Amino acid sequence: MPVVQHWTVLLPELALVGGAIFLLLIDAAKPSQRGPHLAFITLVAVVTSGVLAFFQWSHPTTSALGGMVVGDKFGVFARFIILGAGFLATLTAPAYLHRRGLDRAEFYALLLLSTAGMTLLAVSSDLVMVFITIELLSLALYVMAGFERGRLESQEASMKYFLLGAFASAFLLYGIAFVFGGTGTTNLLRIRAETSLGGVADFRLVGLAVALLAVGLGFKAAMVPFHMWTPDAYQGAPTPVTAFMAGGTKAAAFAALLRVLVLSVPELRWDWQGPLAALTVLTVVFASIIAVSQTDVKRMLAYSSISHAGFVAIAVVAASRSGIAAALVYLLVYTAMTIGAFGCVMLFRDGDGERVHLAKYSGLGVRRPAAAALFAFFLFSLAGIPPTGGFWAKWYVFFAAIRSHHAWLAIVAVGASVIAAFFYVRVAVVMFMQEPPEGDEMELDSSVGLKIALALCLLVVVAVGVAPGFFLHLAEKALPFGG
Amino acid sequence: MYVAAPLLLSAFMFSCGVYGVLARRHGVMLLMAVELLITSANLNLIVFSQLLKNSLGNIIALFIIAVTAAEVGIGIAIVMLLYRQRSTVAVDELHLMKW
Repeated sequence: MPVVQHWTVLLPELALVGGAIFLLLIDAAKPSQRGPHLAFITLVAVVTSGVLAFFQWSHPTTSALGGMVVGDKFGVFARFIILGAGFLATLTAPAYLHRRGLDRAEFYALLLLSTAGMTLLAVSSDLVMVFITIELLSLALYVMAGFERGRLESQEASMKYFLLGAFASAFLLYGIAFVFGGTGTTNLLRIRAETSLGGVADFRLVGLAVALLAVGLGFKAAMVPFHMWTPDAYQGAPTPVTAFMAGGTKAAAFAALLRVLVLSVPELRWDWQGPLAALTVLTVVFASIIAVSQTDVKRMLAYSSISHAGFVAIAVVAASRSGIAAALVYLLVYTAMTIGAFGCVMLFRDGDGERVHLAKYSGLGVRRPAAAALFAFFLFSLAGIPPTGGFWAKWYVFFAAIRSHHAWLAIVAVGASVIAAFFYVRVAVVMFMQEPPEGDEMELDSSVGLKIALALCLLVVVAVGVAPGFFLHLAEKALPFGG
Repeated sequence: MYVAAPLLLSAFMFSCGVYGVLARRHGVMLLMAVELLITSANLNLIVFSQLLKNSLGNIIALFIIAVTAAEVGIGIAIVMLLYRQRSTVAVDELHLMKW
């Protein structure tokens, strides 16, 4: 059945890009202006985009740009996660940037453009669109990672992120070229038709192509062994950017990976499930073990985000309806708890900087019990300890893996999460069980935006913890993919 | 049409690019290696386009050239930034953060 074509599918992205252009225009009209109104304009653009995306939930599936973009419920769900990441990052950014003299309009314009790239990636239905949107989100993020120009770590993060990101894009492109060679098309649905019974696909080329595409998207989703950029980029980038990257990019990359693998080449399932399962095991085990030896909290959270990519990939390997729903719920909870954890790092000021070394956290629970308890809550959720949303996210993923006969994958992942629990709990132990150093008052950041962002993250993690069934039901309603 | 030769050439270019990214230590050389990788993908697209008598591949190649121009612009900007701060573009000097 041909899907209705209508440009309104793109309205949420038009709102984001419109906001970015508006920010650049007012900056051109009145150069070097600073202040919270820039963040406010950004928030308005993100909320407008969210409202416009919300209207598509109840509409039948529509496509635009000649079938390159598809407006289905899956896309709306993924867009909401990404827009949420953009919204939370914008709330946390002004105070952080202001202290460093970086609160300029370009930052917010780049953030909006990057968000637009991510949401478009989540609704891409053509490999060319996948490539262009990945570039759009990455190019903006390369600049944002290096936004603290004077700080060497920030530059280093930007350079490493750029080099490995461009390297990954080249693999993706090479894969797209082979898909085109093997099937004569780049549209995901037509690829599916060509690789099904009666299609004309050359399976040698398509198999090679799928491997290359998985490498390219694996880089963006930060799966081992394509994760090398992640710790450096996350540690060096300004913390609001790190929070945004960790939440938004992962959600967008997995939405694209799900569309490419599960929607377009389900016929090659027996070929890609095995290697992807191997990558998954490598990711969860390796990241958990390396994270144990970290003493920099931002870097530890970076390794944590790598291991979480492995957990989402388990749901992709399951490739079933319940697997995709589990992946969506996982990405939702993951985004909230990761941005919450990075937000807490921003909350704990150390003079003008932030506390990144683990030793600096000793006694925080004694001096600032409420803030430390909040951080501990996010860490417990990342570890997957029961009453939190993180537990249910893992639960659904394991359940989906067992139901699709990948029980061994679930067992390995449970083992890895036990190792992972060690380094999450260690931070809590350092905060609550060690004596605070003399003369360190441990001031908290007093910005209202950061507090609102943390409250929202807490709300999502608690809501999923209390009513996981509601969110799973919502994610299941978002399926299947539209054409 | 005889396609093996251009496809092998593109595979060779891709391998050179991968080697360049992994082995070179000079920032600008790394950018050139990345360019080589992307060019090899473009060559593939054009060859397949000729082979399949389908102009989609040529159009994609044009898109890619445009996007890559933007990408390299940012890459050069980052290398310039590094050079201003450190007076070197060697990427193995970038070791503030490890493990």
